[in-house]
Amino acid sequence: MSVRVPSHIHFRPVHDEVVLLDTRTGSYRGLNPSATVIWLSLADGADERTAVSAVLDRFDVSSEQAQADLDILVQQLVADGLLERGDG
Amino acid sequence: MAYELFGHVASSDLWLPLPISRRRPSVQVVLGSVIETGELIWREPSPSSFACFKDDGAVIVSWPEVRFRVGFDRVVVDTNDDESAADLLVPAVWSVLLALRGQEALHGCAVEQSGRALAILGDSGAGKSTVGHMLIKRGWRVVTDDLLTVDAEGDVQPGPPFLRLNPNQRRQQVQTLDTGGKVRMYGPTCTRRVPLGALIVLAPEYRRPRRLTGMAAASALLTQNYNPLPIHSDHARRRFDMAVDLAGRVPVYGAPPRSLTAVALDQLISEAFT
Repeated sequence: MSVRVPSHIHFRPVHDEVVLLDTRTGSYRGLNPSATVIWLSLADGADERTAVSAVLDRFDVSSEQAQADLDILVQQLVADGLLERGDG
Repeated sequence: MAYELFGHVASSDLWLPLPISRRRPSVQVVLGSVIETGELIWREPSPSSFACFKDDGAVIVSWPEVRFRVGFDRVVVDTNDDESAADLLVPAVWSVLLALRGQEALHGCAVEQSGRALAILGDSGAGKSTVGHMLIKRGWRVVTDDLLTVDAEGDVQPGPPFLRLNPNQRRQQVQTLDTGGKVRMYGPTCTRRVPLGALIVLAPEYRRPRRLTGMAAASALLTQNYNPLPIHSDHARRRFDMAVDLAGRVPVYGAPPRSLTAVALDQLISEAFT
């Protein structure tokens, strides 16, 4: 299943992190460098496999670890309303 | 009389403690009648008893002794106390006008040396102006105090040509206080916009002076917005973009309030400006 960035979430990269703003509430949150790589991939429309590849290109982790990190991150971001699941 | 103020020229019926301008005014400040009307968007209890309303594209900001109706290019001032009105117009009410013009502001002062500005941000009492004063005594010049605006090119806009300090209890001579209970310290000033070289945020969460990056830098700046008023429907996004832009463009440091010694300041400036 794909994920997408909801229209009320505004985000900007700064240094090697991304900062997210919920424009409905004014609250904001940062993502660490590895989460940023995942976010930028998914926000660019990539699927989860491509996002994992992007993490493997940048960080010295196993594919299993990268996939597990992505699963946890996506689950958390969806639960917090920062990502939403789409069709496909 | 016309005055320079944060990149704008204002003609004003009130005397303002600002550099005189010969440029054509883009904002009029006039004396007149202002009534509290429209949608209440902010109210603070006593002792400030401040209230703010949105009405037909204008913003009404109201204190017991003075009321302002702020539009895009015209500010109406209703007061019997010109001095208090001038103190409130610069910079508090001006921040509302800037917000109406799409420009957000930070709470801090800026000083300049060798064509670069250092901005010091923090809550009231954090020691912003004290750090500024320390640098003025060492040859820096005042760019602005209290309200800090940075334009799209990354330049600090000149504001009030003085620093506002807490009164020195040990000093024997009479000290004249402004409406906010501060003493104005006039010194050498920089009256042109100047590139911002670094920002220091004075806040208790920092145990020692340190460089902030990424989210930590953006978050430090997001806590230092001058104006919390929801004046514009997109204010959260504009304030966010300003903070993130600055965090990505300029070195940001955090330091504990009232902590910076001359030595620590020298180290920080040397690192930031090298």
